[in-house]
Amino acid sequence: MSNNIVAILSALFYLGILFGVAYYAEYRLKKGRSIINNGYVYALSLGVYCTAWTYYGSVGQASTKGIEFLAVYIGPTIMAALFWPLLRKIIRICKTQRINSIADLISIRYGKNFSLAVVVTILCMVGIIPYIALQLKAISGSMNILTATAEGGMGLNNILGDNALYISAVLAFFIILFGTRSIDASEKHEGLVAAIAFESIIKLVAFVAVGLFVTFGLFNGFGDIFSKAAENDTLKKLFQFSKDTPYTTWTGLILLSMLAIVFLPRQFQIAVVENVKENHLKKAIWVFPLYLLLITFFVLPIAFGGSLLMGKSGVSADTYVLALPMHYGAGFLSFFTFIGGFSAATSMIIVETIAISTMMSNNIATPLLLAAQKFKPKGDGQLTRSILNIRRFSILLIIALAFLYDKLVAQHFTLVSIGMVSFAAVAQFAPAVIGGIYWKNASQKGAMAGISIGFVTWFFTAVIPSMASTGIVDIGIVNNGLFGIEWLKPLSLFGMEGMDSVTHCFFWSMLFNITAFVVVSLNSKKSEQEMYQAEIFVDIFRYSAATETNVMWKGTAHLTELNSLLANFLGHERAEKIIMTYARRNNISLEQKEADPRLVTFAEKILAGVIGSASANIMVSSVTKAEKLKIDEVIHILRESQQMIELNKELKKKSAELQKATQQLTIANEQLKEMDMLKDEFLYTVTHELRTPITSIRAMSEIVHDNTDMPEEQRQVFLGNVIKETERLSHLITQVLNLERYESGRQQLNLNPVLLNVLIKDSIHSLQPLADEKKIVIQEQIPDSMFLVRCDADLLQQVLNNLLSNAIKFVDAGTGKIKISVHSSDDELQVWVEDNGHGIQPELQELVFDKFFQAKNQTLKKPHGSGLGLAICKKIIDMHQGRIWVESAEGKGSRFIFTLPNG
Amino acid sequence: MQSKLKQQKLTLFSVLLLVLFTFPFISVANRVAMFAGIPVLFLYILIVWIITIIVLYRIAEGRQKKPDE
Repeated sequence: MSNNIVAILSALFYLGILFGVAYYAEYRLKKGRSIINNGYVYALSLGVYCTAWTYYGSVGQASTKGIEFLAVYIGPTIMAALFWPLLRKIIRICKTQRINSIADLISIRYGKNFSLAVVVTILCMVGIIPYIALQLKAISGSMNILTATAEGGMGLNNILGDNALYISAVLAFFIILFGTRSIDASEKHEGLVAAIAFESIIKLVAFVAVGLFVTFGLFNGFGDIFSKAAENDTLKKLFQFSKDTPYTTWTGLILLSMLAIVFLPRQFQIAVVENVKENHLKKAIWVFPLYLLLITFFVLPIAFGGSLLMGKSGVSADTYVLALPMHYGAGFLSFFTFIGGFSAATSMIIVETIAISTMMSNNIATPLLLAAQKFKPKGDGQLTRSILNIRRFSILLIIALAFLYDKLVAQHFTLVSIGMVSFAAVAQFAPAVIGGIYWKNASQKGAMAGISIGFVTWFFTAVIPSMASTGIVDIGIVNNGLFGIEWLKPLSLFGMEGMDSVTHCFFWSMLFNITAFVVVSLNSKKSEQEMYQAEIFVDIFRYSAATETNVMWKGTAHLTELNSLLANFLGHERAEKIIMTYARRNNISLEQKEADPRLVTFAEKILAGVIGSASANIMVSSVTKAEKLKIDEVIHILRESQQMIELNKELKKKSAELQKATQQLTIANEQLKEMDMLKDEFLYTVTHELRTPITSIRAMSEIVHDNTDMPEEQRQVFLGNVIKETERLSHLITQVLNLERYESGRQQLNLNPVLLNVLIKDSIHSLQPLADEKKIVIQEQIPDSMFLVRCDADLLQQVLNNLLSNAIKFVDAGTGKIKISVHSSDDELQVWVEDNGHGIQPELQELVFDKFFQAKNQTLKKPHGSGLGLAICKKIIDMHQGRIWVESAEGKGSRFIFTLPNG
Repeated sequence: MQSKLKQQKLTLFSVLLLVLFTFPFISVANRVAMFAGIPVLFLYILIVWIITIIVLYRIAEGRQKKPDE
């Protein structure tokens, strides 16, 4: 008995932690630092897929059917790849249309059809409530095991769980507390999602802990378990698919679970309604399959280990996970395992209940309430409270129904069978939803026909047999067929044999569903509303930007009535604020008495978040007078909005192009200006340089001209100077022309293999007289090897001459020394011209290669040469893809270096 | 544009997965035998599963490092 109390206390303690996590998440949200706005948390919360069925049931299944249980996790893994194409589209649709349940999704797509929403809701209730009951059964079952003594008495029926009642009550309280915070059901449940993600971690860690305990504690690793299993004839058979699992079952289960991962209400709730950002899908795509892999990894070892150790003791395989640590005395681990299973069960109950209660209250209870009251507004916030109460009541009702189902019916089934029946139920939504978002011709009547016939087939082939096995309906139906008709046996419809019951149900229900959906869709007329919704849903990525202002409504409505309608559900203050904000954002005047059509559409969307789309549609039309839109108007509205978007896109593109062009023009203009300035400067310097020799020529010629009696000797001197100046002038002009030619690119390189040694020798030879005149020694240090370079010999000669003559110019007569050397490395040749002249200040070392550097820097004592020599050298070396620079220190001479690419 | 490409890659990959995980491919591994101490069928599924996760990671997140190129 004390064990019992500990179990209950630990479960309550765990629920306490959940409350804490949920509160913390809401506290963080208020501070503006949401913890669920995170891809990993989103992926973890998708782990709500793994329920007590995964936790306890898969081991049970693995120990009788081997690997078959994995199909239910491989299906979602395959579907994860389709999250981006499929789920992203659904999320986008639901966000823009403020959809908060799968029933809303289907009913809005098919023209806001009320009856479709009701059918979907009922199907969910019938299909899922047993599944919730299953979780309660797992909780009370595991509690019983925990409290029973190790020997016997492990049956699930002996202490009929009053425990489960307490747990259910606390759970219901938790769900009401965090699930019905806000009237707007399309708002996120931050706290709940955080709690679910937390539960996903707990159940994973607990299950892996048991797995490690069994694999490495009770056995010596995987090899040990599997080799011992291989010696056991029964277990050895489980290494491959058993006779009960033909490939059709395996494939069928994979396909079925692919649909379940999207269409189960709890998955839809977490993956779509609670999704904060589409981009979180990117994480979910790979983290979720990883999660499934980790949580199922130890199932087979535990199943084999359990069968080997406890197979003969009569313990149900469904309980191995808990029974193994208990039996082998791991006390703490047992409790932790129990909490893990408890978390798996509670997470499922919480989310599933929220999802279904939203559907129930929006699609069944609220419309009834509104109809009963004939919609007489009774003051501020009255309706809000009623609707919240309806939702709270729905939650209690669902939990109570599940509890009763558990007590009255569920004891007869294993964990897995009910789960698969639920999967097959929600799979019936797949054709209507997938068809609805990819196929514009899908119609309301088609969806209704498909879902209805699918529902009936599902009920007949899956629910009737299980009811019959518990004696609720006559077992004769299963054995002899409905009304004794051989063809109407629920487990082999039309005589179809060879499939297990789930695959059989899945096959027939989907076949009828899809066929009815497609055939009826193709043969039915669609209303304007439907065509409009079809257009929006299928092309959501094209319309989602414009959907807020896109209006599909025509008629008259009074602003005050619209206002008071909203106020009934949201309160005066909030309603006013919402309308004001919307009007301001879209430039709608609130002065007029009549409401803008956009405002009407907007109000309906806001209401849809509160009471579901179907009721919202009815509410809004009760205060407005809508005119029927003609089909060409629908098409016109759509075309217009689409054209607007395309026009907008085009404009954006154009303006971006224009901006780019402007930028380029500005840059080009800057360059031109700079070049113009350089040209001016160049021209100025050239003319300045030209004037100096011309002035002296003129002066000397005038002297000679005026003084006819000048002695012959003196005349010779003057005329000699005139000739020298003229030479200098023509030299300068040649250089200017050369430079201009190189810069304009008109100079073609005449590339030939040239021996560098010979070039250098030629240069020295031609300048030797000049050096001798100043008594300067020219040293050459050229390795013996031949340096063959591809270059323009004439131009390179010019470079060498220039550097050499510069060196001669700048060293002192008598003591001057010049050295030319060649250095070779892998990819380039370096030619060094060193002198022991005055050197160059560091800050001028780059500037010396500028045009007319000397002329511009009058600080230099006395200009030598034209000032173009080094500029020309640089140009020529540049043209040869080489580099030229100078290394120097003042007073220590300088070293000019140029490089040429080798080879 | 990029998201379209991602969409196509993922759709194609899901088809490939369906092929790898179902008949006839899975029948290759469907035998009573062990490899490296693990039943062959289990091993086959594990390996394909792990590769799947890696590929999904690469496709889903691989391009984040070079945004909009």
